[in-house]
Amino acid sequence: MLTPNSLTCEYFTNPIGLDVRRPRLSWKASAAQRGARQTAYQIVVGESPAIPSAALRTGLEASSAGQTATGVLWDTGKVMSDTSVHVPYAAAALQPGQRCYWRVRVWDENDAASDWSEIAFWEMGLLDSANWQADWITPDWDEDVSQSQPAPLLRRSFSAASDIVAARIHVTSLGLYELQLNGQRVGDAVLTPGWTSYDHRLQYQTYDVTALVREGDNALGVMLGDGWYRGYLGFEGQRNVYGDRLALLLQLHLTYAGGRTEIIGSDTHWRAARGPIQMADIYMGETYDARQEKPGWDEAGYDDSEWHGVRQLDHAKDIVVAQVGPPVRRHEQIRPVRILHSPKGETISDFGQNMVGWVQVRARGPAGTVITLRHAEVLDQQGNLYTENLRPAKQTTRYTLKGTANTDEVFEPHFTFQGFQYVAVEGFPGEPTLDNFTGIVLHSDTPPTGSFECSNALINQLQHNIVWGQKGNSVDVPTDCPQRDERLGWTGDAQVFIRTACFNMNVAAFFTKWLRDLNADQLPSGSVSFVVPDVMSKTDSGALNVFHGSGSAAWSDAAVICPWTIYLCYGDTRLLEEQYESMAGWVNYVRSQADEDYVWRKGFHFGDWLDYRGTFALMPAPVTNNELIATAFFAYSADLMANAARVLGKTSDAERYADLAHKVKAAFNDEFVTATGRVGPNTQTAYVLALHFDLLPENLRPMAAARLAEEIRQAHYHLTTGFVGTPYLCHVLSRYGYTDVAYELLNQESYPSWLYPVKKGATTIWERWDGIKPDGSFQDADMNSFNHCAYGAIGEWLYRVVAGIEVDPAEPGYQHVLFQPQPGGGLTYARATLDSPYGLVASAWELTEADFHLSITVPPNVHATVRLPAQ
Amino acid sequence: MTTGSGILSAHVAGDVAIIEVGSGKYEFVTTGLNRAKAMAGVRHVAGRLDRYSTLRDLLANDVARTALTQQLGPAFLQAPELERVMDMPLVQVAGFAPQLLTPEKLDAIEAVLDAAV
Repeated sequence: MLTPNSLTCEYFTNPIGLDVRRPRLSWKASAAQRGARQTAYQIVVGESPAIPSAALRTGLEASSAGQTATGVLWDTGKVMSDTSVHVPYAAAALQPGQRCYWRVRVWDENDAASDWSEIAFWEMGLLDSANWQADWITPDWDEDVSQSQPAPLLRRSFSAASDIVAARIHVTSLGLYELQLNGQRVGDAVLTPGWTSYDHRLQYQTYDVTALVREGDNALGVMLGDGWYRGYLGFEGQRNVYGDRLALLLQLHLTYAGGRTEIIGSDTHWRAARGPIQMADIYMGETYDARQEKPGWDEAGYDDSEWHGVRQLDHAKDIVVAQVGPPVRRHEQIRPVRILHSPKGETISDFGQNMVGWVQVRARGPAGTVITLRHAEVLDQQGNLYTENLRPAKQTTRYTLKGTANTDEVFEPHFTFQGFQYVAVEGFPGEPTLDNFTGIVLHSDTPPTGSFECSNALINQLQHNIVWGQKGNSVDVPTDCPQRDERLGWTGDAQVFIRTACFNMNVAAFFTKWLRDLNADQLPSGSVSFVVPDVMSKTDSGALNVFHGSGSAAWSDAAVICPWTIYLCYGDTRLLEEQYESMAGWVNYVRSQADEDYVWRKGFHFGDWLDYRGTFALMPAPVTNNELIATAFFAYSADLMANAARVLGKTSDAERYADLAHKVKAAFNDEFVTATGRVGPNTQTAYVLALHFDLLPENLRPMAAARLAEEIRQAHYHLTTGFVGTPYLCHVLSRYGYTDVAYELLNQESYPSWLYPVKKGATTIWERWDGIKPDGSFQDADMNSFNHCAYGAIGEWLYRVVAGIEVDPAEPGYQHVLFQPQPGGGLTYARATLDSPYGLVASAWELTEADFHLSITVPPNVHATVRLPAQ
Repeated sequence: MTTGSGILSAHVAGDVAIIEVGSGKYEFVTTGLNRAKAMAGVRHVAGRLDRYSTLRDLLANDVARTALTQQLGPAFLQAPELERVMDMPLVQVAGFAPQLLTPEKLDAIEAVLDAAV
């Protein structure tokens, strides 16, 4: 018998503040028996937790779909279906603030009904701008917005009657906010409201504050910071990219017993003052003067008569939308492993892990003592803090002690984050110890879903580095890097890494949010910006400005690749529907840019970014030409469009895009392929794209694969691929019978290779194959991040080929799992797990002297195909 | 096997056994592959010292350093140009000094390294 569990709505457990009109419900199941599968389900949704239970007792379980009783919003009746993921609510329209309780039961392959699940719920937020009664407010003072200003505090007292049964705050800001209620921090999210395409979409968050509101006097307090809205953004030193006024939009909804409601909103009754944060900026850091704290400012009874007033700000509310992705939260807390003294005399705290977040400092000293922390990812060859690769980003936090005699003062930043392993400490009162510092890791709260381990310690360290690269580059948007004056949502990096990301963590909601921004920022022509949210169109991004609007192959293809990947990995058809016009817009745009013969020759392209170019200037390595890459991705995206159209039942579109893909492939062969299977300039990436995207006629594929393998042998088993070719390299080798060559690449320890940085002590994935060169010197400081996701794209090969967990595109979301491990590379065991939408998928193999063992776990309602070597 | 609980079907296609299963936990064992077969043809395993290891890694290991000194002479280690090839695999270094690093000497060095494992 099946037992339904792990009920989720729109990827979250008991979410509140949704504005999805038809939320989707999902569940997993457990079963004692093998072969358990769901043949039917019944969902009951009620207005209160009692309703689903009561409805069941009164026999509604036998009802037919659509029949409702009092308090029952939706009873599906018994639906003959194996669907247990993304069942859309399909009953009466939901109202703002409405909470819905639901249960599900399922029938197994023997038509045995399960017990009813535990009750779960979801709650609607504000659904449109008409639901916002509050006003945008901003402190009533003028500022010099050319530089960071002290973070304003806003407060308001209010009185609440007794018998409060529910209290919700819906809040957003221009800039970042931290919210307090009666002296308590509200929620555990940081860097809210997050970063979106602010001109089109601004997220609000909803908090359940029922436990914090009390009868009588209360006070709301909000601190605002510059954040992405008006702080430094982009690599041309610009501020105020979205606007130059910080502002707050907040609505507190109080519900009393008996149903009476009251709304306290942001309005001109609020007061404002400058707080202890003297400066806060995403790139630059934060300066906090504890002597400027205003004790009790966020509590009732505080005298704010000396504070400034606020004024209304005329700003759109129809752009305000509910949060769809996971918020950024605190995660690991890491203590330093050592404190060292550099040749320059710096006192440096080494956290042993390149991380993203901030440092909590614990100190005691005289009032006015200034402690300065400078953050960096690496030390230079002499052992000094290396900050050149941060470019103008200061990554510096400063704390001025207020001077407490008998207790430590504890500080954490609020509106910034740093990418660092090393922190130089200046001005610390006394000799700092390891206990004075704690690294707080911040990233979007994407739940871990995958694990990979094998018998090789270096490869395990590579997997560790991939995961940490993902964490650090998931600060509300998928970024390229987390440390220098960039930290942008580069579309290329996102599409390169997304498949690996889907193994390590549940990134469905994270990418759903980002893809809505991509959609919002897409140009009318269909072109897709290089970064999302698109700040390049709003800033002077140097030479790239010239090309804004042109789109770039492999970068802008994120518009197609990312939704398709989320569909594959999570079975999310709705995302395909939502993004379909965006996807089509990009492919149609490319068609307009390609020549009559379907070869895409013009425009700006990043090409095979940061590929290996050789070490001898007199003998430069061949480069994969942009026309080849662009035409290859044109064909690939057209193919994916055809697939998406088929999934959505758009038959004529499917035929049209399939025909387009066919023509582009023919053009690719005419332009770039010889009759003997040589592709373009004979580079690894040229073969990889041609083979992975099925661009070549079948008779040429073995020859091209052999040429690829030979090219790798000629390079002494080194890869030469950049961002574009790397994700597919080992897949192509495995697919065409060269898994041994793929393992050679994986095992390669010398530059360029995946393990070269590992051997150099990396704890994250580097931007460049030689961020630290073999001689110990650094690559060009203008572009040398030590925390970049892109080359971590080998991660998906570890899961899909080494451990052998593969999805079947015909049954996405892992409803049909393919177990097809390909042992090799001297590994004696490998094991991987994936918490799929249906439950735990696991594969573990071991080679013994006598045989090969494979252990697999297939969750209920899933079937699997296992492929084992028979001889 | 085809009648086992949860097993939906099984057949062999070429050198691959294909088994269709329903949900549950399964253990499969095949003698079609074992450690020796899997290791055959493996050129280099990351972390293992052999001719495909970098010179830097080899010289950091006492056994390997001794083997290199014995086969190539102490002058080899003092050569000023050594630093430029320190991060190349030994076999790649051999390409620059084929007279000195002959296949026979590479074999001898690797034999010492294998014996030390």
